[in-house]
Amino acid sequence: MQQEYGRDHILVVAYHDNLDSYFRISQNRQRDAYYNRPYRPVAVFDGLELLQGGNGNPNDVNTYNRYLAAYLRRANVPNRVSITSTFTLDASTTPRRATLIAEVEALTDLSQFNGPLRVRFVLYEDNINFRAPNGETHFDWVVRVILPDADLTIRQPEESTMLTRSVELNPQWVAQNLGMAVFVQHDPPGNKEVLGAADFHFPPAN
Amino acid sequence: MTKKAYHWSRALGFLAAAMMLGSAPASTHGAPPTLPSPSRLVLIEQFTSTN
Repeated sequence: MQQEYGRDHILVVAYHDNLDSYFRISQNRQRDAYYNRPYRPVAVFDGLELLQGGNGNPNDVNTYNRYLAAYLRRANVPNRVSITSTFTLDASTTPRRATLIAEVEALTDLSQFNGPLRVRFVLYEDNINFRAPNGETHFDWVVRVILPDADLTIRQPEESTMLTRSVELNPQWVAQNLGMAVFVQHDPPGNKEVLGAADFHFPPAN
Repeated sequence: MTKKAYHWSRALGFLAAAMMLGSAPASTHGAPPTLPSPSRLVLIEQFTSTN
């Protein structure tokens, strides 16, 4: 689905529960608890719609169609915030360090939301070649670290705020395959809706 | 079927959730997607349990 619509339309992050030493991080449990998720696999669309995964058949049209419908239900919902950023890599230090400076701007009156608004930062890695016991050998969207989130205090349209996050990179992570997902979420007692999301990568090395 | 889908089809016990998010079932190939307008980035959080 992401190949069809493109990464400028669909942003995926994957929280792994198994493959202990390589993919699982304790922070993934935070997201489990957040959604009170009773089972795996599950895909959560913009924080609102939880859909169980399919049966493992690569031609499982039913699962594809369910996911596609969920995507299309969200695809034309206007963003309530915009997120822009510079995402830089400092390879001169050991370990390497990534720094994100994000600007979040309100596009509408955010005071309409009754719950707190939180900005979340998720560092993930694509194009990982790893032989899992089940035979899978290629993984995308693997969440590597969840950075501390932030309160979004702006409420009026055109108000904006700057947020900075910095993280040390594991030497095994391939910098060119890393992405930072940033999104604003309407936390409980709100409905957990994602009000806007963005995806950032390091600029190409000179 | 794409090369990637074929590769996945050879794997045992993989998650359809991951596959569906990456590509489409073979039977849907050739049907051009209806691109939403205006462009918006939809976040999909996937909870997997690969064994």
